[in-house]
Amino acid sequence: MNYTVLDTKLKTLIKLCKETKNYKKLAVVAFILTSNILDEIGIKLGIRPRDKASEETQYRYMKLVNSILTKNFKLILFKDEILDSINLIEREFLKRKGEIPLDHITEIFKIYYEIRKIDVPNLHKQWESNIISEDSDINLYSFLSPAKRQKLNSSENKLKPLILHKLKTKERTIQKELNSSYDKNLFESVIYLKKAKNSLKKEENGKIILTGQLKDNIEYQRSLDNILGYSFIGVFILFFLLGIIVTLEAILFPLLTAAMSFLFLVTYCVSVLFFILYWKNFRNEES
Amino acid sequence: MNSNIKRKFKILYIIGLVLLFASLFLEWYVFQVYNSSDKLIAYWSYNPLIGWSTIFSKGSTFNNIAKPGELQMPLVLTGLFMVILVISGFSVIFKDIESQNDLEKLFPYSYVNLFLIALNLYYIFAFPVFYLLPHKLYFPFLLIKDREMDVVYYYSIGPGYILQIIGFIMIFPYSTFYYNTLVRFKSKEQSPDKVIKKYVQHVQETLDLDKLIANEELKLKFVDKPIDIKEDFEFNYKKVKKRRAKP
Repeated sequence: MNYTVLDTKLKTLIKLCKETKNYKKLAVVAFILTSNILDEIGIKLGIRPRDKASEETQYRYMKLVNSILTKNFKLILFKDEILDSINLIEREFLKRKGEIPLDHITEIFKIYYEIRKIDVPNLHKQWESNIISEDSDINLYSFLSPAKRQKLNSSENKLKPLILHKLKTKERTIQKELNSSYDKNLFESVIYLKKAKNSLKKEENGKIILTGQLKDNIEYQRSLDNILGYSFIGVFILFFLLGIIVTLEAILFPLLTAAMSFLFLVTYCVSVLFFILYWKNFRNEES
Repeated sequence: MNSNIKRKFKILYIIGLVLLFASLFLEWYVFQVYNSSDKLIAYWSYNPLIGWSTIFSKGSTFNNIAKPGELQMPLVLTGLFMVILVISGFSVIFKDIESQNDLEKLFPYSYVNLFLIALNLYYIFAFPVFYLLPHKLYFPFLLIKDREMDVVYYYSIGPGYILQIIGFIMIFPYSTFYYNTLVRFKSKEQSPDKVIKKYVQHVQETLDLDKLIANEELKLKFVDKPIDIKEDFEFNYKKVKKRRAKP
């Protein structure tokens, strides 16, 4: 989203609402903006969006995000002060149906801009070692990224317990730093370390995810059998079409109906036969 | 077996393309008249590129009288068919689905292949229904004995049309497979960033600031009393509700 455009429009709206004394509109806009930014943060972190249908408050959602992040990364994303004020203002907003004092509106806009400043990494994206700051010694663990991990030989595998220990220690240090002051790069480092750790553990279970071209994909290899099914559909379509042509001809020239009877039988029977063959042998495979 | 099956159907597809191309230069329909002593007295064959042609000289009166009406198949469509055949051949030979890293780039070729099937089906269906039958040219084969004139009329589809049918059976499986594979595996390849961005947009509440500004400006200009805020947000609320209702 282009925040410059949004801010300019918001400025205009605030000015106009002040003139019309339509503060309720401003309050609603502020809450929608905060709700949207919270959804974005949550989704980026792999958390569900706020459940508006069951009237989950923004405060509760922020608490949920905090609890998940604390559990996984020992990180508190939304500070207590923000949580307290949003709780207070939101309760009043819901109780008074948007008619909240001007200072509350100012406060909620402040909270919105405060939350907007939080730049969270996208947990869904693929992590590569080069996204981590070059100054950081996290790069040392980059050989655990899925692509590079495959190159590990057996002698290096013996180092796994030591590597795991090192990873945990490093993770703890960064988490401490992160809690004293939030920094996107530090957060990315923690996520990266966690991924590296999980990846190493998965390897112990013998589960290695391979990436490559379609020909290497087992699902693609299985789907190759469908091609035979498509030829059955092709024959079905063709004979059905020929059947329609013969039917139209018989309608146009009724005298030919007797002569066409054999063609009727052949075209429609073949089409039905191939459809049944396809349905019985390939339909389930495709779905 | 699996790796071979795709190669076999690919070869079949290429042969199908060649047959379809060749069909454009062959006869699609043949009309012949024989006399009582089985001597050919009239012969007309139809080709989509050159129209009706005969083996008799221009001076043959009966042959000229027996000439069927002009079918007027659009030449533009035939030209387009040839171009599509060439592009499709290029895509199958040089843009193999298995060895491509970026499947998105192959989508235009898959649409070309689908369009080729559509054109092929159009020829198979439209040629007899819209061009032959209205001129009383019977489909697919018919022999009529005219006892008054003591002649025999032979109506039959030609090798060109038969090649169109065979070509369809040959190209249909691979082009459908090509398209289906792209749709199936491309969706899995979509970048997480794009997916997340789309999802965020889907769940976020719509906020039309321009509309809100315009409303406030209107109020400021024309209305003295404050207007209920409900009006401004009703539209957005309904929109979000509608979007959420979608599965």
